[in-house]
Amino acid sequence: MSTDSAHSLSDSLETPLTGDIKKVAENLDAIEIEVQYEIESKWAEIHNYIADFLESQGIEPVTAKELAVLPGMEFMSALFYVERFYNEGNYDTIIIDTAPTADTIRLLSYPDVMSWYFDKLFGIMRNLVKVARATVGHVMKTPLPTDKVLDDINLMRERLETVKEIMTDPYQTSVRLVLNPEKMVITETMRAYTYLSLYGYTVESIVINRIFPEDSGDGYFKEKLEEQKKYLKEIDEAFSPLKILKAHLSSREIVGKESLIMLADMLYENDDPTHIYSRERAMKMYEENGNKVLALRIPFKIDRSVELYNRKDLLIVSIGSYKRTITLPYSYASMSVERAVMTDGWLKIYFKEEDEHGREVGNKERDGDGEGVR
Amino acid sequence: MDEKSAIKKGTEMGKEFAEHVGRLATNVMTGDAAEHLQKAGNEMLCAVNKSIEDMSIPKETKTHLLAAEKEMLLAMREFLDAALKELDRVQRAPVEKEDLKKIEIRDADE
Repeated sequence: MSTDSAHSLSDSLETPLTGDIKKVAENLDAIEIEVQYEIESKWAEIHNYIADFLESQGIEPVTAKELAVLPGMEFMSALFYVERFYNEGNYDTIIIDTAPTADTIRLLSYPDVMSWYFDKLFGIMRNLVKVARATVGHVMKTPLPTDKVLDDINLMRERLETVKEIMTDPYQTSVRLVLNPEKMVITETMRAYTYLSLYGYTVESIVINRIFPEDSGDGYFKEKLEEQKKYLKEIDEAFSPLKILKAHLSSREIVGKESLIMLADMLYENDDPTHIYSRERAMKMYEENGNKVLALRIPFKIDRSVELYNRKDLLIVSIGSYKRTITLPYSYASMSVERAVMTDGWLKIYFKEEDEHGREVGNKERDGDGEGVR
Repeated sequence: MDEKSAIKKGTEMGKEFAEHVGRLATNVMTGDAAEHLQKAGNEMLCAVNKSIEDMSIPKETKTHLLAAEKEMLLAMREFLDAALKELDRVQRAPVEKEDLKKIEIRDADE
């Protein structure tokens, strides 16, 4: 399944693909997600409502229809395929061929970001619409969303929650990052790994592509080979203990079934390509010396600073412009954050119990009598 | 019981009943129920008005119908007043707001 708006999957498979699922070979189907088609066929109610609303504001009908594609709807369509395939159970493995880093982060952070908006805004919006319908709805010209539109939005919310559960479960989903042995690409992959971990995805292996073979030649290629060796060593050190799969630069373009099988043999040799190399969750909760700990995988100290905020049952972790809001389970929400430590690629957040006056429970010096409040 | 006392008692009972209905409206009746009730009243009045447009009906019937319509509007006004009162109460109530607290992250590797 290709989610990149500039699709190239059909070129790789040498088979024309569309927004409908197509059988490419025995036991292999493929699809290139087409946003406009998905929205018009699957989300007609919402799309029509937005188009009607824009028309009521004086926008030309054709333009209104174009504008009615909300940002992020393409991500939602792609993610809903994941949910559909998972529920139908017709496939052993679903491979999502995503766009370059920035778009992929946007795609994979979408369930997390949207669940925040849905939680905060949907209830308010539904109540406002009901009140408006019963009062000013009879006289105002601007169309109000129908029950079907509201139901569709609610269905979106529920489906995105399911997608989030599937995609952050390391027993269901894993992420493989593909990089070339070049400085800028390595740095970008480090960022991708860090951001994906922030959103709870398990990155279980990396694929180094286009490695020059040892017998590449002299002159320009010899120098390039030396440079690559240096970067390959850097990758090994930086990403260890992550499984690293390697593919050499092929003498011909990887296009068509034969080339793809050759590439797969190079990467996996006799291994099963669907084997998952790590199922370690990117977020863990456990006890350490009697303290409750919430640990988040943050593998690299990239140039953007990590910030942590807390309010009652909310924990907000941000890295640069990426932010994840974590709703704490009850057992953690009743406690307060004691300290946060970055160690060995993990951000460990330690929690302590407090009494109703905000005093630490069990702290002899502060409680005075040496007895912790229970 | 004389006539004056009976009227007084009746008025008090009426007030109690109105308060009871008010409590029901604000505490028990859901927004959906109120909306449906209002719609039902409107629809019924519209239907009756339509059916008697060209009919020759007694003046007293028309008077009662007008009174019913007026009562319906008064009920709606009560609902709106109750809703506004509730909104005012919510607005006036002190909001327990706790600001986000920034947590310093220590680097154990340094």
